[in-house]
Amino acid sequence: MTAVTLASPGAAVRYAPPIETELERLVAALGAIPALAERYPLRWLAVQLLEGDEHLLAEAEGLGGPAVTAALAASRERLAPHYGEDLDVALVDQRYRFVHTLARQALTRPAAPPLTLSDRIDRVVTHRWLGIPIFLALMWVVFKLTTDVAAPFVDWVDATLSGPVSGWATALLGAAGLGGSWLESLLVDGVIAGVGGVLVFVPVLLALYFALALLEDSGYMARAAFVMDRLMHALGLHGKSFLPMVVGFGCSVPAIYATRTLDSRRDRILTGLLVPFMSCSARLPVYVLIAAIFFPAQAGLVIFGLYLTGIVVAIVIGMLLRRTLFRNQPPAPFVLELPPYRLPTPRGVWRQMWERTAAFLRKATTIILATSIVVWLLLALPVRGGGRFADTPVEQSAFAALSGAVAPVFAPLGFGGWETSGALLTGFVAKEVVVSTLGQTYAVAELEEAAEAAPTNFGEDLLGIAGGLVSATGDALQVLPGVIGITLETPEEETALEGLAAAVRAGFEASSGGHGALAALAFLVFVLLYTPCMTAVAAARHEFGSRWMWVSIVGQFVVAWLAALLVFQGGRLLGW
Amino acid sequence: MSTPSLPLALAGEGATVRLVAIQGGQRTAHRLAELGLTPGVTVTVLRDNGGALLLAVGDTRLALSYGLAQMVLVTGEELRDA
Amino acid sequence: MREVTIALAGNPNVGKSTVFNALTGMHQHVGNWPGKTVERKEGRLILGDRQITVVDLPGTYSLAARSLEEQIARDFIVRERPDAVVNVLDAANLERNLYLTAQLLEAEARLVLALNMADVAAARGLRLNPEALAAALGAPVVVMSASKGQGLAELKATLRDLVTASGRGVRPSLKEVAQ
Repeated sequence: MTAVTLASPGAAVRYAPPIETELERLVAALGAIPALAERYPLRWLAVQLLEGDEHLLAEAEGLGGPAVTAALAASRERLAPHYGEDLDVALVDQRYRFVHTLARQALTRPAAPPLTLSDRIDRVVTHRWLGIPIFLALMWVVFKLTTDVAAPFVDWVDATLSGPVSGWATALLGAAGLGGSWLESLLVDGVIAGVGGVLVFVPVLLALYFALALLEDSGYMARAAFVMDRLMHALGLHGKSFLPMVVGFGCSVPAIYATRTLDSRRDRILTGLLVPFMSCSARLPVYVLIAAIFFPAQAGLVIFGLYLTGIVVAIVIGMLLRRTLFRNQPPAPFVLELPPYRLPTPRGVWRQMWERTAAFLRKATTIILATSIVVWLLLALPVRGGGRFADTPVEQSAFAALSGAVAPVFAPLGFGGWETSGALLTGFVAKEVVVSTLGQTYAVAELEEAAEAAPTNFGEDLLGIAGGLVSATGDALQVLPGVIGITLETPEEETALEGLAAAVRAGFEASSGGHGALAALAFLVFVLLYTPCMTAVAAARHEFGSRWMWVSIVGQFVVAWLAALLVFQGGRLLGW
Repeated sequence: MSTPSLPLALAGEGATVRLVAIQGGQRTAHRLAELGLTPGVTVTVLRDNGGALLLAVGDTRLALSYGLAQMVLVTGEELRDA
Repeated sequence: MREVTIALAGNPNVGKSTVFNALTGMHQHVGNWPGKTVERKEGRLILGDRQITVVDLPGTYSLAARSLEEQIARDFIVRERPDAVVNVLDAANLERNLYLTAQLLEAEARLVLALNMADVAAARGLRLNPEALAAALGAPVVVMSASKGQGLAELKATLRDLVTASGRGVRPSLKEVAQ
């Protein structure tokens, strides 16, 4: 239905007579300045200046000089007896009266307004005692989705990349007469293993963004802010800061930018410092990998525990910061609209899943590709022993030497091996690289074997890939009831990235003196808490300045180191 | 009509009240007014979770922290318990 | 032929991005506002023989420019003078949403009102009178439920009339007059 009337264009707000008089005077004064008259609608500009817009005032004074200042001051003085200090609220109020008249014409309300479905849902969801349990239950479902349901697809992508795709690359290079060359090694061990190690987790990210899109589009996210307000007060923040925190579970970078919705600089900085403790989705691949290797039976629990640990550490750090750096600065009061509940549309949800995952993939093809190649180069360069370029044992490479030099820092934490310290180093670039570097340092030889071991033709490969997808979907559907607590069958004894598992396990056992699982747990805690990736650091500098960026970089490293130390040495003392 | 005004934070869950004035900073008053909290409107406190209020203002639902709710003065003339 | 630009403005949570996606489909470009970190979404809409640039402004409650989003929305509307501003409103929360409309009117924007979420309003027993609103504002009013695809054809038809109407179709921007 379309209604078009062109009868009275420019039906605008009329203010009370004293204000209208001053608006006329101001329009006349501003109209005398051509630079302003060309740039702005004058009546609008006059209203904004009366309302106290500082940006526009500075600009108008810049273009019009003291004449503007004088005219505005005179108008304000004449209006002071009518409105006192509340001139701007009076303007808003009168605009609302105009709006009220409009709405009365355009809208007929039912005699007895029904209690909306939204309000009825809110009675339960925002309930004083039920609110937090409901929130935690929803978060649990999100983690089950991102772990158990996504897992079969993760296996499928991994099998496809390390099997057929690596095989095709080798075959193509072989056909071009480059088989067994350093180029093959770069492509298969560097590019495919590195970027592939990240692509493997696209199903996990799709699941996470699916859940976030549902929570956002349904309107629940704003309720979560209200429900969590009391808990957030413990951090010296309020419910509104909760939104950037939840976004932080996806990625710290948009979360840091999301702090802009907060009203005071103090809240923005404090929230920005705590956001990186919310475990971002790029760290999830590390958890999935390590947990699948060391805690296959309780992987979901371990990962959920890590997310909780991040939240608890944020609470502790928040309380500390509130009593130290942010002493004498109370949180700004907050107001937030709760939109009505809405059924998310499949198209809207898919769009968000795709846009966010695509943004991640763009990163994967730039930063991660570059990092993978640099790491491969360092791995290929021999610094000891008699190896040649691209044909040197890993432990004699430049990368091993560099990582070995920093490894002692991590020795008290139980993971002082050069392989892990190397992965943590590249993790400064981007957290998702930790997994691909582990893949490169632990499994270079193993992947080569896998690539050469499978003499299949292209058609068989395609059939195998398609069949794998079908069975992965079947597996995921079987897992789905488990998300809400029903288990159809015991999970299979199958872990992702099997070849890598043995190498990683052996590495952790060696570096921790036989306490591999404990060292793995300390490693996970360290990955959870340590310095965010360089993109997040850049975002923090952009938003809060260099000083706070360094607070974030150094502070988080120290916190992570201490927490991992506590886990490993504490666990040892308890006899694990 | 001589009922005294009180801060919205004290109105209690279920209360329906009329907004009289917004005290405190100019910026705050302006922001709240733009969201529909102008003098004269009827406000219902749907929920009070001990740190923030969930309000119905016309068709809008707003979450308002205690800090802000202290600055919003309302009259109890229409006050009634749910 | 001069390029025609349309801006989408509205409060947060009114389904503005759904309208934007429906208008521009896959022809979208996501970047940042110059020198800002706020996302700028721009898309193309083909109406008859006209190619129209659609800019999705950040969702705001007001044009008072107290936040970065408001400042971006306001500067675009006042300085860039788009040929039309599609003001997307939540029909189920009309009064609060019309506050921004009042400010857009003051900024002398050429408005098209899209009363979105009409289905929700109907479910609450609210009866809309778009003709009365159109008469009072002197601007076209389209009733729609964008998430269900209802009212999109009408919105496009209204926009086509607006940009092709002789004499009124394209209005030179203030900036161009100044140059």
